[in-house]
Amino acid sequence: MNPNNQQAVDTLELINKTASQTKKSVAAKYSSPHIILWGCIIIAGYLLTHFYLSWVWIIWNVMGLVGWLGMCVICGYQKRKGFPTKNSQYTKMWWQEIAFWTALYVFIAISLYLFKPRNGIIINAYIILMVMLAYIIQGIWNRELFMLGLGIFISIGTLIGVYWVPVRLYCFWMALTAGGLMVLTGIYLQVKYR
Amino acid sequence: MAGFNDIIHQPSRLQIMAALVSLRSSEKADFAYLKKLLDLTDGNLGAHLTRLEEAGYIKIEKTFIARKPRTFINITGKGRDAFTEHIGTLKEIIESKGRQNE
Repeated sequence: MNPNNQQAVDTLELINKTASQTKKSVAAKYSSPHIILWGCIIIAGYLLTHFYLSWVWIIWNVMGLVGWLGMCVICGYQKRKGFPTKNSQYTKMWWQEIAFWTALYVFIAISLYLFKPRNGIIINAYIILMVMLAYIIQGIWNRELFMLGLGIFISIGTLIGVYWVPVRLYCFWMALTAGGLMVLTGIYLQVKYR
Repeated sequence: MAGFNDIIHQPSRLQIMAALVSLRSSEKADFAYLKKLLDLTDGNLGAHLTRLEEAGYIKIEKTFIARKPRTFINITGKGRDAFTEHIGTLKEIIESKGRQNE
């Protein structure tokens, strides 16, 4: 028996709701471990920078390497586990992801070389803002509200840190806002889409 | 209505199809994930999946990962077409009602 008008409306609503819930939960299940990992790395990086400022380049290079290795481990685990989905094109997507972040870091490096900023806080804020721009773009294109939100809030937090937070507290502020927010968002997504 | 599909229209099967359509074409959903997402029991989900598989709308793949049995489901081209057609029919019903009201 064919449905009446109201039943058709309700059915379309159910379809849209289920499709949107599926997309969100799959994205959250894949992204949340990465967000937690980078949140922890950011917290550790800023705290180490606060106490060992002269080692700043070494600290962040090591943190970047740890993050990259961690991402490889998480991706390998997710691919092997196949939960919530198994993707036959996973390797292709993985290379797209690597290419995207590599391109971003190359452009950050080039622009830092061209403009040669001397203030450490400005250099740091610039890198964070560029990464957050990538989060915002990813959030817009993939309709991932949590990425969009993270990008916007951490960008605002960074600007507040640059203009209003005393220099001696900047690293603590960034560990709290950028790292803390990422860890909390990752945990929230893990719990919500468990 | 030519495109109205009784197999797909059943609420649980409709949700299964909606979930599978929303994934990338290269993605297969895990049985346990679908069960949790749609709040269905093993038996219930299994029965609906069998019905959809018999109609040729989905493909079920049983495999072993880390020595544990796993089931993955993906939508077929036929399933995607049938689902699109079904949505078109639902929209037609809504639009025809709208035209009647004008």
